Amino acid sequence: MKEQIKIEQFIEAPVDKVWLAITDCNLISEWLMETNFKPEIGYKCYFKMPAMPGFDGNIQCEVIDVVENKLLVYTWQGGWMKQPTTVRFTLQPKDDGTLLLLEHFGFEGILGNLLKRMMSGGWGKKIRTIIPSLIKQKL
Amino acid sequence: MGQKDKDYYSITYQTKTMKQRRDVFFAIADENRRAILTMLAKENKPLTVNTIAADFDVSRENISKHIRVLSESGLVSTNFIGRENYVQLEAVRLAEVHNWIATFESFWKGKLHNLKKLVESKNKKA
Repeated sequence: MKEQIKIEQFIEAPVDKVWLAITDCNLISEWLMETNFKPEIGYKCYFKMPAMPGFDGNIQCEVIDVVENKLLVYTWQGGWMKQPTTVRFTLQPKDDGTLLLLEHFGFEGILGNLLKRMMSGGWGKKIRTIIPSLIKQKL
Repeated sequence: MGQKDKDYYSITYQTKTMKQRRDVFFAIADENRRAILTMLAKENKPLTVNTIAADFDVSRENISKHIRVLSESGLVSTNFIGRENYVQLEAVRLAEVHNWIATFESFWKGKLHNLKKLVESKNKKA
């Protein structure tokens, strides 16, 4: 089971422009979702997204770390999550643009333990064979 | 779990519609229900409601209620054999849970693509 999301995205724009887009609440609303976000450590905010399976659409956040043009970390807690997960953006100048790294982690406490125990309980094989067939169906 | 969380979850529980109550993630948000699933996974065979209830400090009625939520979410199925009600894990729904982080990953990929388009178009205009 994959317990951490790590995505790299190159953006053809200087880091300060990318920084503005991930910290200004009006801009965040344009690419991510409606929010009252402020890049201030300890600030509590929300994200509002359309409901989808597994979500009522409400996400609570708290800003953990802010280093201008470099690093932004906040917690992320959807309705059913017992413990908050963590979202981390890392910005790095590269060539004529910015290399953005997004990491989303901390799922272990919510699903990980349960699934880990299930996997070791003889269900792993069943699930491993079912997932590829589910994916095939979706294609 | 703090009191605030408890209040939140009991409110969530009471105000959710049936459709949302059947949601897999709502079903596994509860500690007792996760323990029931883990027990079924560990034993790797159907267990009677009584066998499950014997392992918990909460009442049999309470366990039955949890099993109903799990059953509504499709995570378990129940079958009467004689007078005993057997509870069985359902692998397909479990696979959906297992796949959930992959779903979240594609969510972020889509959003970061939006971000790239937004920043690059604003940068060109400037």
